[in-house]
Amino acid sequence: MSPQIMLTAPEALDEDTRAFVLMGFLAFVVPILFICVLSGPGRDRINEFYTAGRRLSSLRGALVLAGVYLSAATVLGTTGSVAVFGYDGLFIALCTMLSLGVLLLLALPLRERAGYTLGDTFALRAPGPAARVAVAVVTLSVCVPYLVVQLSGAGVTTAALLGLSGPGAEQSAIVMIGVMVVCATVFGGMHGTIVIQVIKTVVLLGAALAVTAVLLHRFHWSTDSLIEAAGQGSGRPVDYLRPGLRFAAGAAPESTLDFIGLMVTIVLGVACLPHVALQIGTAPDAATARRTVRNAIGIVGALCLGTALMGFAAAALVGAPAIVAADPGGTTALLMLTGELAGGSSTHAGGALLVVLVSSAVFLTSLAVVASVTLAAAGAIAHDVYTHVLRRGRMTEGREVAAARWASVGVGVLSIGLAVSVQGWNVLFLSVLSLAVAASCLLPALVYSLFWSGYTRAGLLWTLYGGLGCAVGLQISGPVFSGTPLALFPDWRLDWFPLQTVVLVSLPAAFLLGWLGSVAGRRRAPAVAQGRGLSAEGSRQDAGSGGRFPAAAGDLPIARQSYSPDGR
Amino acid sequence: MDPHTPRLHHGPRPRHPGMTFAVVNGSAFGAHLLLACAADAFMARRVWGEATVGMLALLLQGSLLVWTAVRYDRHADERRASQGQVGC
Repeated sequence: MSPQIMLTAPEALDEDTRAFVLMGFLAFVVPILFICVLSGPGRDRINEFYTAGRRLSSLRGALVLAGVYLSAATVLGTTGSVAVFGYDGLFIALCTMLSLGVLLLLALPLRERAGYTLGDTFALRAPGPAARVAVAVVTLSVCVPYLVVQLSGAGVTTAALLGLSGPGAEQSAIVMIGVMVVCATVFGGMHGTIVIQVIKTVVLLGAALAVTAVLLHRFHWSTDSLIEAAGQGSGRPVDYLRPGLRFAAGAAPESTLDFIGLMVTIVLGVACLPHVALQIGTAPDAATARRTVRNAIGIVGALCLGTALMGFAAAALVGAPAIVAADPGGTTALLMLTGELAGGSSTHAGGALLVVLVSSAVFLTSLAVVASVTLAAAGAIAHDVYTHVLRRGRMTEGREVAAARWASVGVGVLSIGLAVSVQGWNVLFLSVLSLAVAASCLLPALVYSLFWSGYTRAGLLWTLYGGLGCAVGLQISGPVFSGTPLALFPDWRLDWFPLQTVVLVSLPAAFLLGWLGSVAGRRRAPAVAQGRGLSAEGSRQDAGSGGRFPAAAGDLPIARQSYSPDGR
Repeated sequence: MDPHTPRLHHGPRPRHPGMTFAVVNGSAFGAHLLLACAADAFMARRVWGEATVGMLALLLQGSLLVWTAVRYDRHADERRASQGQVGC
């Protein structure tokens, strides 16, 4: 197998071809980064920095949202999953698309209550510093692991692209990319992120289209022969299109529950990631936000279809054993497929162009997603914790933008440091962990505070901290962390929880905790609740008349209008 | 039924397009997940060329999402427009 890997992996391109690829790549990426930095807001307006002035049309918004959804881990990971796990990989692609359906339901109320961060949205329901701190803690514990995964994936990809290998090259690639992204975020804000996301989605669509066309041409435009060859190349022709390969190693009930848990995590988790919620806030009004999500469903669906075909082709042409040997998560499948389609080590101009296109798409994908997530995390620190908790809202607009920029730098440096220090470990579980935290903290909190009038601050705090503790605690107690040979710490024995995915337990627990907290809190202090306009009667009237703002009375005018410009 | 809310629009269209969207897609997804877990031999059966039942089900679920999303978007617009006429 190993000579075949050497032939198909991008690092095996010969000197001339590699120089051509590198030049094409630089000619492509450097101008885009310049545009991104130059498109930053002219004045230090906080509305411009966090939401780009809320002027995004539904079509451009859809391109941006599709870009936010199709992270590097999603595109590369799904292609690899289809190649290695067949049907289960296809199901993962479908779940990515379905999670936009969840977002479609949340989009309208989320945009009606959109501030600059998730903290603003929850503050309409539960004002005060405690809720903001809780939301910031959850946002950071979702964003930082996600950033680490994206950065380390980008490092591996870039090092392979530059023809280097080994931990040193990967770490310097991580630092290089991280610094670029932090610069783009600090100077560009949401404007820069939007530009880079739009370009990235267009390039990614182009690359997927080109690869799909070339691979279908290779199989004489017959999907039947493609699927048959994929089954042969997977090494498991009988089981390839049978459900259950993803967790085939586990025992019977656990593997089924893990399958369900993974799919539920993807469907519910991706829709609740903080940077996705931030993106909804860039639409001018609620109807546009909904239309944006609807358009994004089409784009993401088309790309998922392309991902499925590319995964099949990777299994057929590269072979699943070679893909697993290069990376157990299968994230190198797309690049290996591109190298194979381009014609092996010494390739003609058309093949090199294909390699350039795909590498740029992958690189831009990492860059764009890291920029989005950094912005969301910086918002949680600068807007929620610094401005509203530490300074109690006593800030000028210019100083808050400066704080947001410094927070972006801080988050960037923190995640670059973490990504460099965990280089070489199997960090892929972090991406599932951050999705699980998003699904089990933010989803219940969002659903309750958007659709249930009886939700209180105590309930919000219980949901957020309870869901976070439950998800992280169970993940640490699970087989991914310790006890099994493939675990992070194989020698430790903490694995009393049998499942790899935690969301089947932590999501119901968080919903239950939120309900309990709300009910118990109201029963304990009904007088306080009445004094703050939260009496049961008031909420019922509000719900009956179709109003959806049963928050504290003082917050109502803010909620009905678009959010006040300075976030106070 | 709250007597204070006037019901001027008794259209045949659903009162809560979001609820319909959620129920249709959620139940389809649940059934799909159950099938994938319980009936793996059935999902791997070939129907047409190399395409299996499972792949067709995936395509169907995806198209169902797109179709219901377009419907939901349109109905939610109509609903907002009619609410706007009643007076807001």
